[in-house]
Amino acid sequence: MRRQKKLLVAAVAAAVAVVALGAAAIPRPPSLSAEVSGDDALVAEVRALLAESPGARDRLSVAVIDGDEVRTAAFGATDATEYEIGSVTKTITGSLLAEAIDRGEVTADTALGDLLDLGDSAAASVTLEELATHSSGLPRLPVSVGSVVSSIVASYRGADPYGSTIAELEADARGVALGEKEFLYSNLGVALLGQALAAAADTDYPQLAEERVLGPLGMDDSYVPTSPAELRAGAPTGYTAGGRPSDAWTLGADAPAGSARSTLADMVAYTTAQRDGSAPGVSATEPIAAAGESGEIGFAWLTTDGVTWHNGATGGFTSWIGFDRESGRAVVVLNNTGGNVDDLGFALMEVE
Amino acid sequence: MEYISGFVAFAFAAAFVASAFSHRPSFAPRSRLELVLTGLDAAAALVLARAMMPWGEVSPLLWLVPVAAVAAGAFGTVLRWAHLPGLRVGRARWRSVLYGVLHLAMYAVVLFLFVG
Repeated sequence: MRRQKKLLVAAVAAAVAVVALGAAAIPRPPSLSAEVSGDDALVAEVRALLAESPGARDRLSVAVIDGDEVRTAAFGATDATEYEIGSVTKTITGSLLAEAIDRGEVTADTALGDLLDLGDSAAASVTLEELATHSSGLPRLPVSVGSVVSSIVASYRGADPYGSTIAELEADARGVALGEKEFLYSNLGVALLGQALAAAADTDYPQLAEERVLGPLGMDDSYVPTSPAELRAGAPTGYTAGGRPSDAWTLGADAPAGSARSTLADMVAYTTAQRDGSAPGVSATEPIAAAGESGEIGFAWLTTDGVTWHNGATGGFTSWIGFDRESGRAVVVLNNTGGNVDDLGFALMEVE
Repeated sequence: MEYISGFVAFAFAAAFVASAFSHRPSFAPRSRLELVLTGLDAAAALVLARAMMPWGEVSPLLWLVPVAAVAAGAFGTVLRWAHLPGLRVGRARWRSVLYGVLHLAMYAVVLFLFVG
């Protein structure tokens, strides 16, 4: 009887221990910061729009620009808070292509193989314009068993799945087969484009972006890291869509496709300059090819129903920028979780 | 995949409860090793669900449901412990060891991918 009582006590103790451990480990996804600043009406509008797309949120910075008037809404952030802008980096690469054409360094029809070591591979024949308009026939990413496995492992660990060297990127390009020359969003293609432009200018991609786009626009808080060592002191990281901490994404040689970091103030300057036509290589925003359901595409910039835009997503950040020259409105959304902000960006583009 | 991980956690936790309390041949463990590994399977599934579920979209309190099931399984495991052999009777020892090692390898993968 006494033994049974002891057994029961031990069983209860085991159950209580499991409950205690489980309670201590209860998931605590980040929630939208209560530190709010900016335009009250915009703050309320953003809150209402975010309520329609639940998910992990933490810091969020929004700007709506009408003409010269800039309204902002910041949740847990200031104008100088740093975010990864992900694939919005591709628009910088697009601008760099337009700028390089203006400078006579390349033409839209320059073959990739003229600038990178691609031998006689299929990728060597692809033109820079095809890369910028995602119509080169290159796949989204180079596919191999190793890359798929490392990609899966990285996604589960919240790690940067990229990080190849330029030589490895070129080797990947030499190994891929080209598909149809129709719109197919390709990170590989834009990464190769950025590296090709850097080679044409005899520099590296981060330096090229700084000298020709970020610097001229006064975007002092923006930069393009290619390794964790190049991150600035205190560079923030974000959270996955599920709320797990994510590593910084610096992408290595794939940086031209998505490793730039920026702030709300800098992205307002960038997007406004694109809208106003004063940005370096602004012709990149002009649609020149079909982009499937997205509408049309210039050099990386998509145009859908009159809105010229691009979004971005890394492991721990999402972003959206866009403008409408007819209405004069431009929008910037920067977010430090994997939660989608495309709907928010497009919703804010609606002219009141 | 995200939501599936939640269902997997529920399923493994339920299997642990069944293993700890049931006497039906299809659920009842035949050794302490099997019972413990069923519990660790459930714990691994919880780790997976904690990492994969989009907890920003569902209430984190849902987490406590499979946790409570695993707690019930732990309760039953203690009560059942004395009535089970260490290893399954009639099975070669090396097979039991291999069974355990495979499970441990799986836990190592789960820990590598989802913890730390």
